[in-house]
Amino acid sequence: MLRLSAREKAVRLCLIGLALLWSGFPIYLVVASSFKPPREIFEVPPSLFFQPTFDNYRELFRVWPEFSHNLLNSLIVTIGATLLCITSSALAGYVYSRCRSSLLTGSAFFMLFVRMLPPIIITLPLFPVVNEFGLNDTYVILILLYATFFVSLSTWIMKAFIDDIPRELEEAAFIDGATVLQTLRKVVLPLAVHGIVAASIFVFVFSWNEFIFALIFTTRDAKTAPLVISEILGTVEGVDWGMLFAAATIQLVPITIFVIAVQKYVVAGLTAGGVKN
Amino acid sequence: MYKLRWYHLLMISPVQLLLIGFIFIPSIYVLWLSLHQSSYGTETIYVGLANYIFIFADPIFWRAFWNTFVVVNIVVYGELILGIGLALLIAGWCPGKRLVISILLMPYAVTEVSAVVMWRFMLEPDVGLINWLLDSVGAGQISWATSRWQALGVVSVLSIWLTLPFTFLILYSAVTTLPRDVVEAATVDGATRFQTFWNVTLPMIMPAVLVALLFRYIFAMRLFSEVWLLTEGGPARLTEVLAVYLYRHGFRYQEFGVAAATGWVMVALSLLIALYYLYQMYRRMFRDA
Amino acid sequence: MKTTLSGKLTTLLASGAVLMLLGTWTVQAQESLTVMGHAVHQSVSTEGEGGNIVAEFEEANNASVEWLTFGVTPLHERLFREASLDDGNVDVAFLLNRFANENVANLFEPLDAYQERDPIPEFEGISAGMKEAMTFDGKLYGIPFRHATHGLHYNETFLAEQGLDGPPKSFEEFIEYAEKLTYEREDGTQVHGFVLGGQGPANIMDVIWASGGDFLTPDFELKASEPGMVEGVALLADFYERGIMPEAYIGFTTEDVITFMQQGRVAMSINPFGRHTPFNDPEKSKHPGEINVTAMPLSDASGVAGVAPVKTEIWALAIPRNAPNKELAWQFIKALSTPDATVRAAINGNGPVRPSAYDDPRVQELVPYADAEKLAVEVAKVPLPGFADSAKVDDMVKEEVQAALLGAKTPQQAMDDLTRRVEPLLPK
Repeated sequence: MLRLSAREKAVRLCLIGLALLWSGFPIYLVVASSFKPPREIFEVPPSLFFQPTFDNYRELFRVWPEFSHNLLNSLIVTIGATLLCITSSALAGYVYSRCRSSLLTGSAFFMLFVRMLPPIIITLPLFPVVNEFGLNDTYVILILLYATFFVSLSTWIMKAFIDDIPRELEEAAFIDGATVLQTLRKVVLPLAVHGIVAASIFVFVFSWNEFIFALIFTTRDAKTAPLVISEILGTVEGVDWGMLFAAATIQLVPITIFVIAVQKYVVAGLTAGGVKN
Repeated sequence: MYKLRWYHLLMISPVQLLLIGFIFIPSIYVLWLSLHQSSYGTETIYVGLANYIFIFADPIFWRAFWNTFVVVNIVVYGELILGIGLALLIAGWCPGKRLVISILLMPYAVTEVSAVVMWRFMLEPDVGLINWLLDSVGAGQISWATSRWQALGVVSVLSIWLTLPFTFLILYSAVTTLPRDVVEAATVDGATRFQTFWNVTLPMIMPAVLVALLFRYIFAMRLFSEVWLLTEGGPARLTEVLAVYLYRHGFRYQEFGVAAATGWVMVALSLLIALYYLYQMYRRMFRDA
Repeated sequence: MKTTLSGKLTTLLASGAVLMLLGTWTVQAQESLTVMGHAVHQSVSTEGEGGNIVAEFEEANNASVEWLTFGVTPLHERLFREASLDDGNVDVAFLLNRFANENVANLFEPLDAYQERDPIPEFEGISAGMKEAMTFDGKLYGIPFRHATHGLHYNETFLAEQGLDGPPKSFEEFIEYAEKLTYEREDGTQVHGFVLGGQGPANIMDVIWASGGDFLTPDFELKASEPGMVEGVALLADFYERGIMPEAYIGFTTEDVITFMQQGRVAMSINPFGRHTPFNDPEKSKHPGEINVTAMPLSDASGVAGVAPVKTEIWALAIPRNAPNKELAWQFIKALSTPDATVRAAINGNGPVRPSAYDDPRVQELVPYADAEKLAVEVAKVPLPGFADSAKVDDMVKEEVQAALLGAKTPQQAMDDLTRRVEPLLPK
């Protein structure tokens, strides 16, 4: 490592500080404001020191008692979509990594092409069909849709990770008489666990935050948390900013912690194989 | 390489079935719909290319087109430049690296709705923090509600804020895998920093740059929530982008044909922009390993 | 390592499958009635001192009502999607006149036959104008349930600070007030004299009508280029340029207006009477109890002191064509539309569609602005007649008025352009 002068260190520290402010401050502001009494929220200059209160949270669960149910829905849908997406992408990623044929090249291209369609438009024709199958307002439809929109990316990531795993290991398993699925499960995937985590994060975060599909395909039973936030934002009686910030904070904190917790895997994962080939 | 067998096809079928069932078939239906006049409570009538002719003759469509063009490019390249800068900065000397990266990643976890809430809150006229600060140093306020370019500027900043972590991650991973000796060798050879970056670092991280660009282009094209929740395309429909134009016709005016045609124009545009990158990806992905 | 991971994967997959099964499994209750509306409809018919009207309906008909509530725009988007299916799931829906037109009407049952067979008591007591707004092609598609009529809200503290005594008594005086109420308070807060809720016909018509103009008559005569409307738009542009209306007004949503009133950053605004409650909410407002409301005064030029026509919006109860249980749906509509139900819903905070409800002593006691609102309701109109392209026309008005406010066009130019664009969209 080249040695840095003190001046250079100071410049770097300043830049890093700016970057942290840019990323973290808006989030801090919302979280902090959620603990302010409603009338202090618009104080200028913003009060940095205030008596924290849980009033906004109490109010939130009084006015929107179903919010905890919506959070649970978000969690179920997110986990479901992640499992479906990762399972199918792991299978496909293996094939794309290990086999070559013009059919596969074509289908890989199809994967990319199809992802260019703006999701909003397909809701027009999908709604009557979904209703016909009785899937409206169920977890299933959201799980299927969320997984669909991330199988391309996940397959890609899985393929890249599996590319890095030496084939000798599988071949040994094949010689021992293992089937492809057994080999995949017992030999390949355990070695691609970073890839699995890396690929999961994208679909996981997307599913937790998704808004348009949830708006269109859920009514009550399967309604997810972001919808409630937008409903608080759009109430006719005027936005209750305190409640809005409380809801946003609750929705935001677990996923932020998750992203931070798996950060090491993402960086290590992408480094190991995501983009280098 | 293994020979492609029937069970390999079975293994890729879940992915392909999802894509065919939930995106491909509906989009073919949308193509059919784009050739018809259709609304609630009326007969669907075949109108040929009338919907396409309508949108190409509509000045508001073209405004939406240019707005999208400008915002997408600002967002994609802005993110790329910031992303490379950040990646190089953080990959070098940086105390508390893990914590720093954690904080940098946080916006990625924020839902668009909450992000709009945050930025609107900071940009509220008179009382929003940013506007208050700007005002108190005498720089005037950002009036995103009244000015087309300021509104689009805010939309761009908001989008960059939301997705910079994605770009940063990809580029950071690439930068950390650079063989240090090559970069240092170049520096020792007396190259300036910029020369080192331009001649050594950049070409080595190019594949990552391409991945980041491809994915960001595809996603940025459908920019919707940021504009819709911030300005609804106003004032005077000056800040409309393509997805808002589509939404307005499909959901507000219930002109499904026009909305469908706009959707297909967006697909064609995405393809056009991505063609070059797709080709690059294709070469890298399927050259024989 | 290998076994644990595969074991974990298997467990995860299995639990995923179970979750998916749970999702599809739904329970059907007997004789249930699905009602789609806004949360406010549920609250005014089920909570408050007026009692739970819906619970009585449930008991009388041995039915259970399932509410599905949404925000205004998502509600209609969802409703039309549901109503266009072959087999519907919604029995009764609350429909806002702004979203209704002759095409959309095809998705709903004409209600004249129901009314003939099993009439709502004292049907003629429901405001005729409101029924008219839900009539297409001579057929009634919705029974009015709620209205939101505009009144002039004003901050009494600010009026007193500027030496103004009581609300303006004519439109001219209103203009004067707006000028005087644009000032800086002693604590440095900038107060703006006046603000409207938005730029579309739903919000500007009050000013247009008060200045003696009109935009589109119920028989589709377009008057946008005539002096009345042009003068109204010119007045707004002038207000905007001079900062009487805040600069941010151009991007305002309803929520912003409420925030501005609550924060004491604007002195007067034209808004539904019902906003009186949030404006004075001690939890959120910096001026609780100081914001009063009155009917919008008429111009002196009219020669009589009186109340100007204002905008009203109507929520009506409708039955989708594909409703599974139309008979029970009609019973529900009837139960919510009796004179007694109207009064009780009004006590719960509803805008009553029967003018007689304002005279009820219980309403008088609970609604401080009952008299003023009654005056306004008598002359109130819907801003636009419903027709196939009304949503588009709504946006065009917004666009052209904004162009005039921003100074991109003169008011006359903007209104001429508007006339040119709207003309071809009108029904013949």
